[in-house]
Amino acid sequence: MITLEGAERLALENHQGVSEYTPSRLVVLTESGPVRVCGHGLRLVSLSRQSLVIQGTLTSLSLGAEEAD
Amino acid sequence: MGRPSVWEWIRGYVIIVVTGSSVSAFLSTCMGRGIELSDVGFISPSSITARVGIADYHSLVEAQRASGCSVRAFRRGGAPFLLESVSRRKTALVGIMAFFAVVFFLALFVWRIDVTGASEERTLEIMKVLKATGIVPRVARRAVDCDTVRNTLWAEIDGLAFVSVELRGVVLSVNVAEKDIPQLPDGPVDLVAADDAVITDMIVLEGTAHVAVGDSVARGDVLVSAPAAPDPSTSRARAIVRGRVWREFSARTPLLVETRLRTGRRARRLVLMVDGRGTVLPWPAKFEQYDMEEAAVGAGRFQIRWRIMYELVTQLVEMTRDEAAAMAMAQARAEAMRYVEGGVEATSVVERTVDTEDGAIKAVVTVESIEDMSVARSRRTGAE
Repeated sequence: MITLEGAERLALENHQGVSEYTPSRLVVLTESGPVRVCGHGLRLVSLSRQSLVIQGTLTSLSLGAEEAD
Repeated sequence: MGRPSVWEWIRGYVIIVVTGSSVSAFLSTCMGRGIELSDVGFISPSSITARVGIADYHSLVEAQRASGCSVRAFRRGGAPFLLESVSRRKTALVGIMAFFAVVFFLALFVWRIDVTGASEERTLEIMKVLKATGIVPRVARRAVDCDTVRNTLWAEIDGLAFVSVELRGVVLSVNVAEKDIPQLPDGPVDLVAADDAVITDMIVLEGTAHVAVGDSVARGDVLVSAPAAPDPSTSRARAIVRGRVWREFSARTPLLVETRLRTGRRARRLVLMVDGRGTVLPWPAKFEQYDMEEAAVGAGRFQIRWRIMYELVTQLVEMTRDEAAAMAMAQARAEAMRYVEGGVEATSVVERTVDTEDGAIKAVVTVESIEDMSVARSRRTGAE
């Protein structure tokens, strides 16, 4: 389950790990594929087996495999 | 790095710096092993910071090996580390323990007694009773039994309608309500008629009835006399006596009315005030008849007051009989309404107007009502 609070906080439950983490891009693995969160000053506020919480200025959120350019 | 939560602080935490080619693999490994991280901060693509609980900190070794990253403790914080550092300083530890011991010791005593709801005199009386039973500031809390204190106050002090005693921390709260005891005249006390009336209901509880339902009585007539008693000073008549009472409210309006009207001329006088002392400027004009208005503005030490004098002229206005009757009736009705709104059970109202000998109109409103009409009167002193 993904919970988005405004454009500043995102909570994600039942994830499978973090595959990429920079202040502008965070990729979280889930059963349905990777969840890509883009923005500025992204921070992993908490990370546990059940859930993770991301804070920062969120600009985009996309689900599924990334299309090749 | 943000602040740890209260729970993290109590459990203790370590801020770690993770360095390696795959920090995201480190995060995933931690997650897979049930290691909770918080406040993960990005330093560079190959370096992050995070906060981890003490319990999970020791498990990081395996995550470190599996991900090929190195983990370094940057800072430790929280209650366990604080206690550890304090325990190394014996004097500080003794001081802290002594402080809590003193606070605990002081909390074993009552330090203040609050009495609310009582007059100053009654409060002194309550404090005296409390002192006599050993309840004073500095008494041990366990020596105070609120129920016993309340029962003692009930027994020792007359005129209390309510008493509650509560121990709140180091404060003993005594909340009381005093009885409102009416001052009765010295006996023997009879019941007499408060007004001229016709008796409609009568129930005698104590004493001898001198009138019956249907009798007409005049103000001051004895209705029920006090019973014979060994101690006449305590002998009192008790009865419920209601009667039909007629009350008249009247107003009078002359046909020729003198009215005072403003002519439109006015004069203003200013008063300059500094620190409460004023300089009065003279009136620019004076009038034989006038009315006055006053106003003031200002702030702090300075104030300007002014008085405005309005010139008046007297005129005689002649009213018709109907106008005068209406004006008089309005005044009489207003008086009657004030009386009825005071809680009187009015049964009928009669209005009439009469011409007086001096050329005025008099309006009379008669209100018939059923009222409690007995009043206690001391046979000895005559006091009601």
